[in-house]
Amino acid sequence: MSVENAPVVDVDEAAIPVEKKMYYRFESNDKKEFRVSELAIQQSETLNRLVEAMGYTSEDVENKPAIAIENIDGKTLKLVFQWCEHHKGEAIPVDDGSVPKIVEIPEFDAKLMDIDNGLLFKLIWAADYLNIVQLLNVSCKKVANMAQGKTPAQLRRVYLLPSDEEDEAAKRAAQEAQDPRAREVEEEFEERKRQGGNSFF
Amino acid sequence: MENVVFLFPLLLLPVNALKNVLRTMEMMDVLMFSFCSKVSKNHVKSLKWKADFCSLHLLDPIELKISFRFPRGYNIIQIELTYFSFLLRCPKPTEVRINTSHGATFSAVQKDSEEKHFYNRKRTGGELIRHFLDISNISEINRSQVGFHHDHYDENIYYYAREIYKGLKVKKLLCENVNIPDYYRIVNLILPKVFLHGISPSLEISRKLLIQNFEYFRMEHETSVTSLDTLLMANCRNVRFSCRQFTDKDFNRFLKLWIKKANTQLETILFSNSKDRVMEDILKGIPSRRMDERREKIAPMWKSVVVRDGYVINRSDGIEATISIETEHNDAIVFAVWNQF
Repeated sequence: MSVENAPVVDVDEAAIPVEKKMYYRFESNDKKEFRVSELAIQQSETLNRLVEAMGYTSEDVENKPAIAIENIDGKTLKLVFQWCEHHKGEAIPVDDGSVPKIVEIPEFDAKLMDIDNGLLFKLIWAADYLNIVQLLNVSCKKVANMAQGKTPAQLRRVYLLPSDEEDEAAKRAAQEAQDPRAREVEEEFEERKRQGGNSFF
Repeated sequence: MENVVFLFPLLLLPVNALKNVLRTMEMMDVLMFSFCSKVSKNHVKSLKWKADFCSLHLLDPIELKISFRFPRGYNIIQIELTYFSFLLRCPKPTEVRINTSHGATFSAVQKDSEEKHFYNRKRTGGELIRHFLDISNISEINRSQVGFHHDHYDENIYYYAREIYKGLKVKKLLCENVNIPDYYRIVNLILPKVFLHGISPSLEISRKLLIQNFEYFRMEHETSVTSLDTLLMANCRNVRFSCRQFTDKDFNRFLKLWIKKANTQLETILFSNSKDRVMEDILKGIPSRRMDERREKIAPMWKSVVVRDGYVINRSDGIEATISIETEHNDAIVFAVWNQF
């Protein structure tokens, strides 16, 4: 996709000083391109370090290819950059270790995250990968809110948690798939136990 | 209409994000999550909650209380286990009540609380208690209290105590209103570091308790039965007990035997209920000198023991001890050994 056709994120230009007005170009794994302001980038520790390390000038940004973000798709990246643009210039929260961690979801974030769980899952992965602390906080809080007032049985269903029995079965299956002889050894062990012989240990 | 259930593959999130989800959950929801499976329990455990106090009371109902102190205030988890089938020796409590509360200060904690109530058919009382201790990363219960006083519990209380306290470490045990045949067996089962005794057991039980290696032992009920022979058998390091039956002559005998190296493990004894003692009679025939300085000792369970205006005596190996009457402790006689001198 050309730069002209790229889904440019709305920017509040009045909020950015003229001399610092610089946009970076990023490309998702499905080749969608985004222009993101320098100030918005600061919300992401990963991207901020990346652009710093690359030492791009305004000319470089226009002439060099967009910075590829290989493991995030365009739909998710659009949400990420929309969030970053909206919260640009805001301080990155510091964790004080409280339990539960106090996180409030602002109205804008709530609307932005009014998405299906598949996309929310990808958004959390992206926030974690790009190290966007507050986006990770609010998206995780949204997932945490799904647990409100539920019993363990309901939580197992909501969060797709396997039971202990299912975990055991999966573990056994994985072991067997890794080593086909494991079953034979297991059977031999059981046979010896039945015969009252000594165990392997 | 059935509520719409939104499914979310939580365990497929990156570890950091999963931890973040659990940290932003309300405490009650995290507790419920910990009961989903062994894996979910381990995730909660990895949050490294660090409790600052934990108490377990073998009362009716059995009550476990865990408190946490965080920069923004206090959180308390309270669990109550009720056994409807107490007489049937069923180790699974029928009802489990869980309450979580928080507040900016400890006294404000109860103002904001959430409670859940379940009927239980799956887990024993011990399993439930160990689950909560485990996720709170508690290795030792700070305070435990045994206080059953209903006649019909007497027969089975040891059975329940054995199941509940199995593998648990208890720092301080307080026994009150207990009058059951298995009382001594329960104390022996729990084996706390500190034992506070609020009732008056028989002389035989007093002896059995005093020979335990408690860091601190208190038995000062007005009617507690003690004797010099019982005291001489003590293996506890710090003792506080009523000495109503002690005469000045008994004290004198005790000091003379201590000088000859009886009770070498003793560090401090506070004899309460010891008004109208005559120090000259207590020290009769014992080489002693008047203390010329004030000494302070930090003993477990006491803020500190300040010894002043007492008398210094020496054991045959040179170790010093002081005996004094302390007005701050209601005219108690304080015997303190100063190993560090």
